[in-house]
Amino acid sequence: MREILLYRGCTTPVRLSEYESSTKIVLQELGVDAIDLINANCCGAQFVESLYPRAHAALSGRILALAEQEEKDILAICGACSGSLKHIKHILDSNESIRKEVNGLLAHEGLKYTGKVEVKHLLQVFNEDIGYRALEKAIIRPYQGVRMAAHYGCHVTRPFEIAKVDDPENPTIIDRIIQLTGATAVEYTSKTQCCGGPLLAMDEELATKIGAGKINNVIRADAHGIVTACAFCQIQLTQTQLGSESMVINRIPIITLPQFLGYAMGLDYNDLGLYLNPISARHTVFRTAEEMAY
Amino acid sequence: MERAEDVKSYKPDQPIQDSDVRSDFKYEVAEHVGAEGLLRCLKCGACSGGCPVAAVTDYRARKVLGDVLLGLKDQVLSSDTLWLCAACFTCEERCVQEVNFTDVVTVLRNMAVREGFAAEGYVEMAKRVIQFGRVSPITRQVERMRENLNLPPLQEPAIEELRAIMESAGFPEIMEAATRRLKTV
Repeated sequence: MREILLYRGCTTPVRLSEYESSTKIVLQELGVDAIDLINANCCGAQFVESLYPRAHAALSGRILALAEQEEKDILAICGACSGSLKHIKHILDSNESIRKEVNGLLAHEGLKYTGKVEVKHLLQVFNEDIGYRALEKAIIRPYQGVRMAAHYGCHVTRPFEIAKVDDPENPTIIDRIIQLTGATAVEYTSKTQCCGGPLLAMDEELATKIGAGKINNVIRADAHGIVTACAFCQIQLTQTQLGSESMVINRIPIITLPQFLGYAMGLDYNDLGLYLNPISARHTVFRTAEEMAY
Repeated sequence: MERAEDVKSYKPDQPIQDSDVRSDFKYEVAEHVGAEGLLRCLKCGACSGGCPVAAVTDYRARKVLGDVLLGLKDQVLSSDTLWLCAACFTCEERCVQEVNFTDVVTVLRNMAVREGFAAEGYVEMAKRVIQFGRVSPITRQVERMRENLNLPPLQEPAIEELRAIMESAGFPEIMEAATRRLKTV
């Protein structure tokens, strides 16, 4: 079985453990063993990055160096994490003086960055390592009459020169997977637009407004739910619909890609942690055979 | 469509004076890693056109770039607008001149921090990262949720090692500078 190091990030294991567990069991079914990268820290994306570039390079550089010790490529399931790790890898690979500086800091722990490991986002593992043919074969409980909207996450696909995942203006990986499961991938206005999450630390009202704008576009396109591939987007698109200040015209379930794909692969609703998604899709997306007949 | 009265304003209303202009500012910014593309900016506005924040406020990436190129150092570094970029990289993807505005903003924020102008929310989140090694702390409820999903118990990241690295990198001094004049909206 193929092995990859799962960098869980700092938010997923605490606030979105269903994303972590569903990623693991879905990949396991598809022949990829996702092994936890232990002892890892927050990648430093956005907050530390905005304050001090040297600290950001050290935080992400430490994670890359830890993976080098294990001699395996990294899988990141959060857009902020994959973006940050790829960005710092790009800088460390192209700027010798910064690499030396970071290695000087990591030497305290006996760690060293040399550039041996690759960083992959979950979409790359599906697209490049597993492939659509294997995914198609794995579908044993196809959806019927379900319409889903794909939300890719800014840092998953942009900037293309560094992310190298999918077309940044017209991404297709999540849409293709939605189609493979028997559901319909719905086109909607503002598909590649930000969820608003990064603005939470500055102006919560603004973050909520941007998130709600996107949700409303999806609802107008008659979708039953949104499929995500980033922990921060998943949390933001959910919480922007909750609370009395919400500006959404209706509520719509937000489901991580492995949860959505896993159910079509015949995996159990509870094992996929779907009961933890705050806006339930129990009787819409994940209908039982009886409900579908009805 | 947004109506005009729904658009939140962040625009300063004071006129620019000659004494505000620091003509060497753009060169100072462009020296930093990530901001090399700044001097290529034609101020065409493609950045603002695709900006999700510009759709709901009067924040304009083009104005930030224009102010930097003009040399309004104090105004740019002390402004709230610097912290409004969502870092979505849409402008970076669409810019014909490869200015890489998102990276320019990061450099400007790094500079603002040293002048004592940091957004409070950012400082708070960065403090958590240093204190816990993560932005969200572990609770007992989280542990129960993980048990139900057959996930292993969470280990704290190597906090002592992390702190030693951050101290050698000079992060405590930067945090001290950042909190000198905290900015909130």
